[in-house]
Amino acid sequence: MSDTSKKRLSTGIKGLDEILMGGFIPQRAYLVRGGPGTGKTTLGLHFLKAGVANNERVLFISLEENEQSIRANASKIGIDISGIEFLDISPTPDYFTKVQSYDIFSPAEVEREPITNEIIKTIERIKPTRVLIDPITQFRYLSSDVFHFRKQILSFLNFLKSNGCTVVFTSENFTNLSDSDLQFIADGIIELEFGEYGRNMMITKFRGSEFLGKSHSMKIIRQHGITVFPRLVPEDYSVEFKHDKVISGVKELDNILHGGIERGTVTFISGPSGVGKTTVGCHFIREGAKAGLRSVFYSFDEEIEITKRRCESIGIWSKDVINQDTLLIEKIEPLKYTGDEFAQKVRHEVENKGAKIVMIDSIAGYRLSIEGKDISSHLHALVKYLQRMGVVVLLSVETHNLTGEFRLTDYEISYLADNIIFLRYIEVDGMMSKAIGVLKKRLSDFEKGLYEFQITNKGIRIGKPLSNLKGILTGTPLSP
Amino acid sequence: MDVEKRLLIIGSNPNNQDMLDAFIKKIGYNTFRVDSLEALMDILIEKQGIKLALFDITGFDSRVWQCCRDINRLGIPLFLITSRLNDVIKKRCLNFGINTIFQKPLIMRELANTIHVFMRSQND
Repeated sequence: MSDTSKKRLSTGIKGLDEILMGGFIPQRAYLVRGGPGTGKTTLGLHFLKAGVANNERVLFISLEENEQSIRANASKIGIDISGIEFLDISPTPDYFTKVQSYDIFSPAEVEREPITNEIIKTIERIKPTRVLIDPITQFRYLSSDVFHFRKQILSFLNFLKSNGCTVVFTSENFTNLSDSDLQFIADGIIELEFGEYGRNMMITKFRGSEFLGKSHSMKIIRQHGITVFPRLVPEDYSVEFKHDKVISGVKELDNILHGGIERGTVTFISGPSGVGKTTVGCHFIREGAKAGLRSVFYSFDEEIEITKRRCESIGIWSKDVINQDTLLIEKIEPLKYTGDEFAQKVRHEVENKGAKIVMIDSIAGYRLSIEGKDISSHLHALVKYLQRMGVVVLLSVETHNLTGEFRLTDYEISYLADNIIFLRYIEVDGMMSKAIGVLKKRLSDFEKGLYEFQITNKGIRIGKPLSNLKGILTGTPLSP
Repeated sequence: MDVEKRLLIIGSNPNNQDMLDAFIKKIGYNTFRVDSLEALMDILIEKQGIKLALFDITGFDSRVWQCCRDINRLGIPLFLITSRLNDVIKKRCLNFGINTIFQKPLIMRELANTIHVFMRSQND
């Protein structure tokens, strides 16, 4: 990715900095908008904390929530706000009785001047480089009309910017009270949403800079605050690599594949439930790990202990293999991750731990377990990213039909496959058997035959080509 | 502050009176402040260089109209301040020679401009 982080101010949230190509541009004003509970104040606190960490002077101007309440809530989500200066101009308990006691001028007119003076004095005293105004919409009640509000806000923000401040201001976007005037004024807009599939963030404006578009998932985690998971854009990543081959360790299968599968390719292992897709994939994982290539197995369907025991029982993974640093086996719990979050997890494995083989078991499990909409595009992005990073990608793809009409996959994702290994149940003379074959291999030739396939207590055994049968793909082959 | 330009402010609500008093001083005039109709009579008898009266009638009884008449007879220009503005009040204002009527809440800029223009016209 291009490094434009110079002359940028960190937002205090790593994922958001990445989305903003390094952070905020200094001495500009950014609008954070969203409904109640979407994390606007928390985002602002991260921004101020990043300033404190950078030995900057920072100021929180609170117009709604009092300082005590902000401190208590920040502490609950693990944000230490020491070092942040507060200007608390939220209404005090006696405001109600005070306002009730006069009617000669509107409260807006009475309050505006003392508040403005207090802000100016505080800015001149503290000389902050970062200011959070939460929420700026409160100023609307201090203005006689929309025109004056816009003029006052513009003037206020210009005052802050000319005093060397970078400003984050929040707004509540009610349907009956538009904040479109604020959107025009702001140099950048961060939209926060708390929807059916969790929290999301989107940048809709960022003057003077590129940014990562689309919606990005985010979480507010206890003791950590906000974590943002930027949407994976495969085109932003690439490494140079050789298309070295990774073998399965099963001589016959490697022969069918003319020496194994190449790095930077996506291999579908397709077949119905229980036919042996995971077992085939685990052979590649084992051989990779043994060869010192970090290999990662994400199980979306099966508990890890069951997978391990099964692989041990058929001699694929011994305890020695399982305990190797080059092997990671992880169960992905249903609905724990969004597509962006899982992609971030995989990126960590690839970019920080050097993973070279990644297996997702299975696509059906991924689609059921990952939260959010547009699951196919998340999977597409992840697979393309892994390809560009030179990783061997193994995807077990379940077909619903045990026998009968041949289908590669029940999802519209077959275009992703560079290589396709398929497994089938077949009925021969009233006995159930299995067959394996390769349908496609993009980077080399392969054996076109169909082979008898068995899982024994010593792993996979592949027999001779089933050349004496025809119509194998129908599931009920006949002797010629 | 021009001490010669004295404005009389009359009202029953102490908080309103405080705010109006502070505002009038801030825009450059001296004030006489009166919080009751009884005290108003004493001030009017002395009539210490009052150039304009601002009378917030809210909270007073019907004697306010007699007071307005008295102020008018003394030749002191009068701005009336009211929370409600109806035809009855408008008619009475005309009868008692009231120069301007303001309905609360007042807009500070508007009030200041009106006073300034009026005071200038008085000087001319």
